[in-house]
Amino acid sequence: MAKTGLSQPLGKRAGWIVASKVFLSVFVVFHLVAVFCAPASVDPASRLTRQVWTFCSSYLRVTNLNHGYHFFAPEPGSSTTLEYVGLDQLGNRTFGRLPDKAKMQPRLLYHRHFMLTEFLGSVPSESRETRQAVLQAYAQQILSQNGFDSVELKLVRHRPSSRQEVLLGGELSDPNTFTYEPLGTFKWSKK
Amino acid sequence: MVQEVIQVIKSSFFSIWNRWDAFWFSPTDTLSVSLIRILVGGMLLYSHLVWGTSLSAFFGENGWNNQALLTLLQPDGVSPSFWWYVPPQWMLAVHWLCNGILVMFVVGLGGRFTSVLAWVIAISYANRSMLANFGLDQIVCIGTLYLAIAPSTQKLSLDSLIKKWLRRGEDADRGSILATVACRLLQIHLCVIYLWAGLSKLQGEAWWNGEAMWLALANEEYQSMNMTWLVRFPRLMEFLTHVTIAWELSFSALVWPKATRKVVLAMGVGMHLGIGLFLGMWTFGLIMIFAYVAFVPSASIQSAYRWLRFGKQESRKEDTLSSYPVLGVANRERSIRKVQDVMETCILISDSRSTLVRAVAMLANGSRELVAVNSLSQAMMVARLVRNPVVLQLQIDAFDPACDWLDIRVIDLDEPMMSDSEDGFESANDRSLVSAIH
Repeated sequence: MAKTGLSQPLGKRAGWIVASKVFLSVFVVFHLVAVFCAPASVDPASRLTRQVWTFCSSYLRVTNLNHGYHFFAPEPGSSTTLEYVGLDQLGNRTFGRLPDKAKMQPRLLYHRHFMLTEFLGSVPSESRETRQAVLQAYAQQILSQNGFDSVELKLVRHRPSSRQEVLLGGELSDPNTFTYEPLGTFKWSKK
Repeated sequence: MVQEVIQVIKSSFFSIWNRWDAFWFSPTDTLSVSLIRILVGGMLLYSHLVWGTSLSAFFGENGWNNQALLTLLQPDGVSPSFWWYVPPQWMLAVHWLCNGILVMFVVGLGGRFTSVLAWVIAISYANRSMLANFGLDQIVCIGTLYLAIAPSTQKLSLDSLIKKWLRRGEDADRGSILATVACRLLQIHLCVIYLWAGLSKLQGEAWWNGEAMWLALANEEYQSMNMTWLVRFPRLMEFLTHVTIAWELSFSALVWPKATRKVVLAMGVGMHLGIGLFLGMWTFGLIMIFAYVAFVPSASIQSAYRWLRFGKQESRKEDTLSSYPVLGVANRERSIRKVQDVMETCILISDSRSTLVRAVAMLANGSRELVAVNSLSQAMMVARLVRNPVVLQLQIDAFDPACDWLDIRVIDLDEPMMSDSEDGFESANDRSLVSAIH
């Protein structure tokens, strides 16, 4: 078959296309390695995955891709919320909850506040400095939002009722499914 | 001997590269990424409007995400966000400016510039409000990153309407390599998410003994609908637990074959709707479902789009290659073998479905049988099976030296269109293509 004028030279243009494809391929491989090793480096993790993660960590942090994707893992457990009692200048005491399903609408707003208290619940009690910093930040926000002079915080852990408990007539909000941990009283500290 | 080895290595390399090339760099319709833009962008906008109700609480220096606290939590330096540089008195103005940009992103105004800005906004908000983040923010950041790579405002957008108005006519779809890259990255990212979601659950006893589903539904803080009546159906709870984990673990394998893809995605849609309905996380459930659009073939989205735009008849008429007297789109060996007895065959190669459809439409009345394939390797298989094949390579950039024995004519259908041409052909190449065949 004779070559006619309809054949297009692949020369320069094809060279650029191949070069850009090679460049894109390198990016794709690096990106996927980073995306894969982010969850792989969550404990328990091998040294290899941690080292690869260290190599990619800046990229993952900047792009907000550094996630473990451990949804409801290792298993759905207790949830953590906060209860507080605020005291204003006149000595009035106000009880509040964080998050509060009834007051926080739309649901997304409730969920965002719930994530705050879930984070507090995930800080190990041994990490005292971190825990104290989280509490301080939350307390200051509660104080400034409500105009309190001081606030007393309580950590509430609520475990899901077992099937047996519900079968015996129990409810999800049974008092024996809650445990309370007093966290102290915090005062307004202007920076 | 050495030359043979080199030849084998060379041909293996090209074979791998061709597969890689076809997977990542076959141009696809930009309709998929445009649809994802609207869905993900809409969710991003909604979530930012909700941020706006408590802006200083979440983004203020002394808010929930206290600057000193985040600095302590990230000893290597806080994650980048423009919020670190916004003075308190400017917060509201910046927030509404961002919402304005997000509206532009959703309606597809401003092209790639708006897409990149939307991504910067998404990660800036997420990085600054780290402690209040959850799955929604993760998926939105992932989605906007890939939409910043793809030309996601080419369709279903104000940009396309403006272009159409300026050119006084329909803009031809030329497909996009970057749209493919973005869709592939999103697909693989979803696989990684589900794989690790499944693997991490294997560490928990409740996912083994079947209790996990009950524990999730009995969590009062999540719950948005009382599901305690399910306590009477323990085996159902256990079954759902096992199905969930089996589905998550197998997603990354079963979503690729056509035979299982629909089932796998349908199960995912069911699961995420359940998360929305029973656990109150509609935003997260929906954003995951929106991401599934990356797995929907662009032809299906195209026909749904045509159906919505033109009605049933038109969508059928224009939709597929099967509307024309073609032997078939040969994607597999068994379908290629069907052309074995054909005396003269024209093999059309293109990695762009729309190009193939156009070429087939033009050649449909010719005397030759047509075979549309999407890679050189498939063309080679067909060429070995038929007599006197004419091979026309359309819009293929990479050239495989292993195909030297094929007399291939390369035709670029992406030359500038001349829609007002007298003879009805869109370009000189279209005319050449027809004369080459007839």
